[in-house]
Amino acid sequence: MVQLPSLAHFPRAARIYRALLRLYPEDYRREYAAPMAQLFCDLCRDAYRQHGRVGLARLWQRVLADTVVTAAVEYIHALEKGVYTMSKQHQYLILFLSGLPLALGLMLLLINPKFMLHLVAPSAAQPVGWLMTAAVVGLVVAAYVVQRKILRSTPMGTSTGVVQSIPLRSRLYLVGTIAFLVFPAILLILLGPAFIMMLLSGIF
Amino acid sequence: MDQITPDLDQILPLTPAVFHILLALADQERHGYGIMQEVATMTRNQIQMGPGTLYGTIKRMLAARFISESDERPDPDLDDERRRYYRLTDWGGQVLAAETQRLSTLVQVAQTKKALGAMGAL
Repeated sequence: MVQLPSLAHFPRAARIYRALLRLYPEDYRREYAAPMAQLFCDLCRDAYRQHGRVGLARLWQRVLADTVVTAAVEYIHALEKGVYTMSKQHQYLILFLSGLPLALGLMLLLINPKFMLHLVAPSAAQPVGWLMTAAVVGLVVAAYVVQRKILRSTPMGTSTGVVQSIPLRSRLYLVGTIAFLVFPAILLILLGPAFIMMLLSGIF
Repeated sequence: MDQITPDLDQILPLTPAVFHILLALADQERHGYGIMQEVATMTRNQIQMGPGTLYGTIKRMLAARFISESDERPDPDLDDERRRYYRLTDWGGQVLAAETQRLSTLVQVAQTKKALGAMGAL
């Protein structure tokens, strides 16, 4: 009789993977979390048998990338089908972050109308205004391009016309999420350590 | 009852994940891990799907009725009853055949253009 691996064979790995599964939408998790966890343990066993700890490290690398990408894809599909509606907190966060530049602008307008005029109608003498406008427009355009790429790369994207069928509101939320949450998070991850090093070395 | 099935032209070409899963199920029912092993064997480990890709694709293939969940266990003594088995549906078989035909035609075109000749030089 074939001895099947259980979660007990790789308890720590299984615990971490089960925690990672929380990244998926609830409906999807309810249906597939158990077989996915079982499959992960099978993969752990194979990787460990073939390549030991190095094999496990390689497996984690593959599984982490797979989880992040497919969790995003499942949210998109859930949005597309109307199965998942973005949580109120998420909606408010995006609205808040999207509205932040506007709120700051209004505040500046109240405090110093002259300065605000320079920002809104930038001239060659006011490169700061142009830079700020370009940065915001660039951020939103880049987010739009990224969400199109994500939608096109969904597993059955080419055969089900996923891109056209997602409601505009969901797509706007997706653009907002990427522009105001994902991009800043990536920047923080990339530039954060450098910033800390600069702080520690007394550059600031 | 007649079910409305989409035109094959609208479905093809399939994504690699869908095609390989259909191919893995062409000869027998398999569970998720079995599908993954079969795909890795068929492609000499060139395609190794992660759990998310596999079950995400399976979910959409179930919705598209390319495959269905099987209640039977091929050999209960050798397996865990918690595992879910999947099998190809008739419609899934037609889709697989059509995609295989499409790829075969492409290979023939490549052969007439001597595109495979470049492989010998490698």
